[in-house]
Amino acid sequence: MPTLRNINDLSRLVLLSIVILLVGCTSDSNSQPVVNRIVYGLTLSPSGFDPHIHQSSEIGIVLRQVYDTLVYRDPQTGQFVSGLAESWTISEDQIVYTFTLRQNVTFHDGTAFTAQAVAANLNRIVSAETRSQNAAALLGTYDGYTIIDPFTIEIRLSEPYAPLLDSLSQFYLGMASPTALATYGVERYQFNQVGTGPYRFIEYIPDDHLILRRNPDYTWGPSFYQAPSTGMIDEVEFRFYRDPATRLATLEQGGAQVMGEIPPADARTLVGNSAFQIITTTIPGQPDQILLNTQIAPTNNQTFRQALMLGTNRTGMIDSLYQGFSVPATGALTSGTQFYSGASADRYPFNSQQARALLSTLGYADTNGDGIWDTSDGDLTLKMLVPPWGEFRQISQFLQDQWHSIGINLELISVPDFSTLMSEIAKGEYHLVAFNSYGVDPAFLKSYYASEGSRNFSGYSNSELDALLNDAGRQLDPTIRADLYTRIQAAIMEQALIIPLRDRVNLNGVSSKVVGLKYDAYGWYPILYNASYIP
Amino acid sequence: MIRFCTALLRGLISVWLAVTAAFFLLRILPGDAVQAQAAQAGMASSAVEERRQALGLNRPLLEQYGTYLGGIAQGDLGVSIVSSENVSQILWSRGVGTLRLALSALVLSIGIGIGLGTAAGISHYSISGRLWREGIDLLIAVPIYISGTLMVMSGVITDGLGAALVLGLHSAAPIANTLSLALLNESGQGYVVVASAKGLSDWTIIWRHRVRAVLHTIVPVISIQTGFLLGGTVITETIFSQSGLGQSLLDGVMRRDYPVVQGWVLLMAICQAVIYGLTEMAGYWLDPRQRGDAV
Amino acid sequence: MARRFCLVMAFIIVVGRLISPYNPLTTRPEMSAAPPSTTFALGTDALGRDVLSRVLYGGGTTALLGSGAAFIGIGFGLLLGTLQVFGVPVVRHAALLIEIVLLSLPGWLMALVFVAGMGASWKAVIIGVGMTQIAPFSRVVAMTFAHISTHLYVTAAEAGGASMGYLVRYIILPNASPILIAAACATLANGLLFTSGLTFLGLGGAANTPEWGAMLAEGRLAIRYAPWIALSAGLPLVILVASVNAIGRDFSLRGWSSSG
Repeated sequence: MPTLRNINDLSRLVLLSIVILLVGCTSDSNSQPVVNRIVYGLTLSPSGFDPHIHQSSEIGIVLRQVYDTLVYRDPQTGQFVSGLAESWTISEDQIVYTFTLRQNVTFHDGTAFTAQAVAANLNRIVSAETRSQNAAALLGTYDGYTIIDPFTIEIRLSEPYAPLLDSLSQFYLGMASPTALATYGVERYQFNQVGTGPYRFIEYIPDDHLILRRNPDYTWGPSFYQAPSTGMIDEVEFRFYRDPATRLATLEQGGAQVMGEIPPADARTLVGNSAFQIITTTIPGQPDQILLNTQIAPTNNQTFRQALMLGTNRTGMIDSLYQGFSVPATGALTSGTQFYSGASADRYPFNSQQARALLSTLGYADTNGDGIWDTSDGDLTLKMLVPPWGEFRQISQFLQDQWHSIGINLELISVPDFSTLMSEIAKGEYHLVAFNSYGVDPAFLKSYYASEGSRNFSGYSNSELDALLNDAGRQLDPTIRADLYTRIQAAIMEQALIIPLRDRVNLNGVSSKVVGLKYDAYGWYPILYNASYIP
Repeated sequence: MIRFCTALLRGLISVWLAVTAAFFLLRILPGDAVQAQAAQAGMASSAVEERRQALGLNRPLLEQYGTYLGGIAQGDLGVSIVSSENVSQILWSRGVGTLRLALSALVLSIGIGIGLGTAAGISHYSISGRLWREGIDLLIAVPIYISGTLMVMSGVITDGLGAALVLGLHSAAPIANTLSLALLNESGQGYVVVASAKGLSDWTIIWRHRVRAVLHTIVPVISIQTGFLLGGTVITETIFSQSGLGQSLLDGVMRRDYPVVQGWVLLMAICQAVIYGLTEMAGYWLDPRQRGDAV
Repeated sequence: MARRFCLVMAFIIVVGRLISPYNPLTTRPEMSAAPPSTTFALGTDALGRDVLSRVLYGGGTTALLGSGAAFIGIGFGLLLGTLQVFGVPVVRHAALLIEIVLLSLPGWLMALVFVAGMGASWKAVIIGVGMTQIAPFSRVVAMTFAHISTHLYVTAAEAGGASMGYLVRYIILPNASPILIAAACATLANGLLFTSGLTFLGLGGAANTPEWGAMLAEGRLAIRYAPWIALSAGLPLVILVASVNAIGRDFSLRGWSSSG
């Protein structure tokens, strides 16, 4: 009968394992010709990469290079500049947009770019079969198109919709080749994407990597796309790095040349290092914030909410958690967002005494001397839903301690994932919930603060505010919109519907050998066309 | 032959039970895939209901269960609710990487485990023996995400090889622990005295007799480790940024992508049944006394 | 030597709260991640909380979690494993099936289900983690019992008219104990470490209470610039688990009686 005879068997085993390991490793690396190549670190693996279907902003980092859009936003001026559309006109009643398209543009598969292509894309986005999670919603009150001639197309709205141009400048509404769309069908397209952009889509292995290769025929970029004279990046491999603790190490060891979302304290250690640079981009949209539930006591009381604001040391928390890289937020919009108003910045300076005083005017008393206000049900306790992402876990622990000093018990309810968060929200048994979203045009505020808003987690309902929000979403005149949004932001802070935390900032770690890397107006998306890499 | 049939039957039943357990356990978690996607996208609730209807998420639970089982019987594992990829395709693409990682780690862990365990177990009172034993204690105690992180940060080996090393080391710990303990307890055995009297060299005694005699004790440990290496390595995968089954499972659960998670459990259950069969065989191979029925 | 460590650990765990210099929950944003100093012997964490106080308070929770989970795992595992070997065939097959099914379900999924169902409390975590330890322990129990039963001395005892109870108590258990004790220590180690694994994955229980495993998982993110956070929690945790393992080994060696 066979036996494990002696050390020979063991050494054979070890040898075998070494062989397996080596085989395993070498079969991973691609044998590639010498090209100018970088590895770009993404931070999460989204459920899919189709711009028309999926909604994670992470995919835009890749797809912004693959697709052009009808219009672009200039990152410096914030103005709309021509993209695939050379020019456009808007009708008097603001419901018909006529686009004159650029000529001599071809998709990566050779298909010509025409009004037909635009039509095919629009159809795909709004089709029920596509089940678009974001792109369709971005089209707002879209009501159809008319092709005037091969290079002119009309887009019709059922009602004025101010953010239309903004939407058309986002990669979600990038123009894909109708040939490819038809060939691959809704599900397979994300693995075989074809656009007109400066980089071609080569491959996508889910959870593992994506590869893009430069499009040498690209000559129709917007005005702010400027190729460097030497060292253009020929190939980009995007890999996923979910663990924040190892991102810096990977960057430093050369595993990636660009790494997104470096934790603030790690970024700080790069500051003096000449081999690397930190590119900070402010993300326009909503700041990280906590929404207060106005539908249940005691947060249904405006004074109570204002007391909470006064009892929160926002600056202290943010400065210590983000090492000075992030600015404390002042209201419903981050400071980089269009129509941001800083008027409410000093509305609630941190003052625990004042907070306590305010609470006692509401009739609370501490009868048993334990430091916490008493109610008919015992100690005054608030419940907060805490998701695991961002720094909300730590922020919630800060709040627990700070509010303890103003006599409030804060109970933290940890939710492990997004679905649980949503179902807890639906139950309504919370006083506070953490949330945030992004975008340049503040029209998204409507879904959070209008009575019928799909994300109105604070449950606030006020017809005046509704009117303001509606109007602001329809007006095209920026001066009028600015005024409306100023009033909206003031109202939100006056009502203390949210505790704003910090302006979202993305800390990108970049090797110094990568020169000229810029990010677009939306903050997340790099303009790789402008960058050069000198290894 | 009978043994094989019983094993097969047992395997089938265990797979069926596991899939059923997963099916219903998943539904305990709040929310489902459509609601999760919808909430993120701000989709209207009517659209959500429509989609759920189309996917059959509205039908009574038992009916959904029946449909799913029927599908499996025909070899159809379903399609991911989230990405519309074929579940079998998803499992295959992530599984290949995991399999490679698991195999290397397993071989490493057995090799290191036996070596370390022997070193720690044969010299009861000597200093080197004690050092080895303390080493094992430490290895058991250090959490894998710490050693993994340190390894990545130090830049020594940061890709799949590093993951295999870390996994191999940590899986070796319980193996070494069990083996050393078994050896320590066998040291006074009669056959050792006899062999020594026969004039056999120390090493021969150790390998051919002592270790050989207690090798069966690490069989259950190895079988547990194998299962763990195939399915429970999500932490290591995250730290070393390797795609694998562990992460696809975590994503599936977080997104409530039922078909993916159920397919995953199906795969695991099959693996576990196979592993158990192999374990039984290993047990008989190493210990002929077990070939009769137990007690 | 392990015994001495264990005593120190036990001391910290039991008495920790009483000798803690500060309230472990007090945050000081201006003192975030401060290195050890005369005011804060082990430094402060990201929220400015005194690490020493958190370590002293955390031992109790960690011990409770670990032993609770280990209790469930060992208790039910012993039962399940015994049934696989000593029982009528139906029971034996059923027990084996349950074990295989338990092994097919990912551990943290079970833990997550409990946390989701019972709310994120330490009780839910104990039960969830405990569930994950049942099957590994039962497998060791079953195979060890099966192996021992084949020894001649068992057959001899049976032939001599020993009852099942006598067999188990005086023959089988003593011979199985070395392996079982090793497995029990491994279960305890796993129980302790699993909880911090859950925190790593973002599935941890109550957010604020100090607990060594959770502190270690969170401290890991700061390990480059504030290693004292992870070290202060990690060291006691590692020492605790390592010394439990060593004591278990000593215990089994001394307890081993018959020379089969």
